[in-house]
Amino acid sequence: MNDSTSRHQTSDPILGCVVGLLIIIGVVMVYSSSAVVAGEKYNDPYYFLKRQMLWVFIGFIALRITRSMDYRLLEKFAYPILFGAFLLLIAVMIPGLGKEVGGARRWLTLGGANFQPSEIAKIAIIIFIAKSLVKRSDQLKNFAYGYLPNVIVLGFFFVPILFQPDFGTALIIGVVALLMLFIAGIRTRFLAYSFLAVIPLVISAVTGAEYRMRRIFAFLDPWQDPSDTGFQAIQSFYAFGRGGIWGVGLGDGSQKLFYLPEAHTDFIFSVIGEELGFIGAVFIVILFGTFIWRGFAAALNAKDPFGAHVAVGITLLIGIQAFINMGVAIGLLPTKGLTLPFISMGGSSLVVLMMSAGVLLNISQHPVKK
Amino acid sequence: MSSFHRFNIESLDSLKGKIRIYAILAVISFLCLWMRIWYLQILKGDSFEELAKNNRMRMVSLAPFRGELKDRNEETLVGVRPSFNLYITPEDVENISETLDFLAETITFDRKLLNKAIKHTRSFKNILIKADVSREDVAFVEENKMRLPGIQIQAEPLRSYKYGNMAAHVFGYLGEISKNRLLEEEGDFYRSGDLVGKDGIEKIFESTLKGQKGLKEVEVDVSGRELAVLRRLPPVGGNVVTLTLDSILQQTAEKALSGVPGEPFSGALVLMKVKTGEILAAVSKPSFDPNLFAGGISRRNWRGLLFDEMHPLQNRVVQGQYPPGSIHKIVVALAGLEEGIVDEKTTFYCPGYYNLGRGKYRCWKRGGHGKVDIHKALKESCDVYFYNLGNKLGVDTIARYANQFGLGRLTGIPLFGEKPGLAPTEKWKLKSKGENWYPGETISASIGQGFNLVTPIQQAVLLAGVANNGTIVKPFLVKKIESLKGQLIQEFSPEIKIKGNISEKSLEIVRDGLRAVVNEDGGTGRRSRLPDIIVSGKTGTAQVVRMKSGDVPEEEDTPFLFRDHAWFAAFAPYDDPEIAISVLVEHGGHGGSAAAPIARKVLKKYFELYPPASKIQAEFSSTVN
Repeated sequence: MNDSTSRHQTSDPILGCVVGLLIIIGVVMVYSSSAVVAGEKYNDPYYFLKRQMLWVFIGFIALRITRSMDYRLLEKFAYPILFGAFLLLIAVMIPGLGKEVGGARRWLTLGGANFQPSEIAKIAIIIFIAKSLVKRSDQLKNFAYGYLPNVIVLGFFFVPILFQPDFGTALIIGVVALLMLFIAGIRTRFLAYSFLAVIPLVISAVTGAEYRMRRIFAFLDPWQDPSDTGFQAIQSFYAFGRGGIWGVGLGDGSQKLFYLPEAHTDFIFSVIGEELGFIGAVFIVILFGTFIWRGFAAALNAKDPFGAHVAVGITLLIGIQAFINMGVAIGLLPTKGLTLPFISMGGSSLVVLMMSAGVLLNISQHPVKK
Repeated sequence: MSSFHRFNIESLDSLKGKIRIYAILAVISFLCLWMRIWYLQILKGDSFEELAKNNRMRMVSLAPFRGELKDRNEETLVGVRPSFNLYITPEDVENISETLDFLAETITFDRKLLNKAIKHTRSFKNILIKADVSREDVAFVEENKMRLPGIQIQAEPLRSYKYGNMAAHVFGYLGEISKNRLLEEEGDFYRSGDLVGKDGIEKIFESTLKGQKGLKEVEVDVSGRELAVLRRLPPVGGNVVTLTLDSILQQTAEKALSGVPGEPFSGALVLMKVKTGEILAAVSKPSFDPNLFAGGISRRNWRGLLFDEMHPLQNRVVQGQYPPGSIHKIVVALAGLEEGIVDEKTTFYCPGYYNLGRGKYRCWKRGGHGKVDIHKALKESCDVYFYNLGNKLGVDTIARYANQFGLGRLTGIPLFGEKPGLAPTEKWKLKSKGENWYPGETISASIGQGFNLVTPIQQAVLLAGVANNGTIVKPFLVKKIESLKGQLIQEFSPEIKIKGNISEKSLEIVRDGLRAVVNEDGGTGRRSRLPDIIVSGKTGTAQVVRMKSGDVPEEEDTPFLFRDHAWFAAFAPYDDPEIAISVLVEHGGHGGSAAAPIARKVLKKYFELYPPASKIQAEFSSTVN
């Protein structure tokens, strides 16, 4: 049984197929949704397509590396990774290094390419919490030793992320971290306390500015203000409405032309709904559902608890982000600037996502007889 | 495996149980998504589709008016005028070639280029047939609307340079934004095809001149025609930039700095306020018409300008580097006085030549000047006096004083591509040529030939410095920036660049010599004399081909491109200097004959427009008496 030479390792083929399909659909949809805008702005309809393909290529290499590398190395290097991610977040705050786009300072520019350190922070925190849960597995019922260290680290990361400001990322990191803690058996009481502590902060932030509140609750009734706060939601509904069952056909959507903002990033799901119809949209939902299913399966079959926790974290991260993005597009959730994993146009974030998928595939490896 | 031991059964079970909870939650969430999509696309699909059909709102961006450029007296020199542009919307035309045939009967346009554009553009988009058509053409199109479906005239703002060629090098020109610029640009202002400033003030002040784009939300019919305007966010025009230029002086200078019509002429002129550094006029010839660029320049015109042998796009005022010629004697004279090598009484004997080693260096006056003191040396521009003085000073000392007057350095005038010129030193030669400095080269340097290089703006700054107690000011071109409503946004004030420490006595001696150049018998610059204002200046001749053994051929025998450049630089009035001028005529020959009369015309106009206080007082008292 310990003779590993007689065994061959394969990662979950279903999981691999799902990720591959999502990425291919992404490339096609990024082109479809950006060609007209890119042609108008850069005089080059392939502008975003070319970039997306380049990032997919880089991401694929990253995926191959993380898939074949033993994930237990991550446990060993959890602290350096965490520290590095934190330094990058701090670097964004330094005026010369960080790049400000539309009032938010989220980007680092390196050799002409921009990347978002908060993407790396997400994965670094998942690795850290997984390691911490394994290390403290005997003391999870202990508030000071089992729970507090994790929360303190989270707090340290929230400061630069909220400074950017990037509420979407902070929210998703917080939710994923708490769900990971819960699954490991941290007392529900601790989690409840944390919630109670955060709620007043959230309420004061939201209600503090009336316009922010209107923007957040606009999704409940977008027709109240169709030309301003409700505009995106309504235009997205129109896209889905036009799509019907079979869609208007790839490339033939018209909502992306003038009405949908950020058609190739935040609202790419609406373009899918219009061009590929109910069938296409549900297919995407099923793909993400399958991803979650296989991700959890990988966690259950993991060789050690660290692998299980990391698998759960990555699955939750990608699943929740996909859920929020799709939920926004169809008017279930308030507008939040989160992209659709693997599909939205994205540079460094796509690479980090593919790296995470590689780790997940590595964890899913299980011995099979030759 | 050890990890399995740590993974105790109890926690494994709890993990499994909790993952199951998550899985159930995930299934519920995704079912919600599914139901909502079903609701949107199937249940309500038809009604949304119906609503989307009425979704005929379109955002049209509105171009702002580019900010105006005004002269110091608030006259608009560069503005915006409406231009009537002829467009075709291929989708609305049944038979394109027939329509175009009919159009071509009256209006000439590039058919080949248009056909190519039609092929490569989406059919619902407008394609430009011809920009800036005449009023007659507009009338023709309007009268024959029925026969010209899909052809429209649109009035669009066009950059307009009121005086054509005038001050083109200061204003710069517009051109289509480059791809790199578009990629670097943050924000969402520019689109491919937008015009941006490519040179001069248009480029430097692009961000303040461009204004803010507006937005129009329009309702359109099925074919995209505008039915109604729903919302309008008007564009905000660019800010108004007020220049230091004086339109009348600039025009006078442009007219004065010109040759015989039909013959090649090139040169530069700068007129600058001595105390502040405000540029009143700056001319570089040959010039170009920035209006050619205003609607996007044609390839042929662009190549014509780019490959013209006379380089009309070059701004000779700041980019033209020439040997300073005898104007450099001002620097050498000041160096000699300050270093105590000569005083006003020191004389040298000029037999018409000067011997150093085996070399024989000629004075421009073959017969020699005889006994020469500094006053006569400047007045008559005696070369031998400065050979003697320069040899005693050494080239490094000359360079040090040249630097003190801003030579060999950028003046800092806010124009692109300014050249620093060159004040050579021994170290410089060793570094750039890998050779030692020869004593004979100091002789050439002391009369401003050899390696020395200056720009016309530097000559003006030098004369201003001499007039202004050795203080070097930074020349500037923009007085202020105001919003369209007249609110002051930024005001520019004079800046002192070098606080000179040249003694007043030395400056006084040199200024007196410069006064003599223009006003005394035998002076080389007498052709710049004005009847009631004392002009002080210096002529110069920049050698284009270095002469061997001092044979000076007659000007008429020399091919044009090998003829010397003519310089004249001056300040006025002598008592209370207000204004400095520098004039360069390329291949003009002697400064006294070619450049000084040009300076005279400009200075005369200046004092007509701005009579000096002393003169006003004199006139006042004469009328009282």
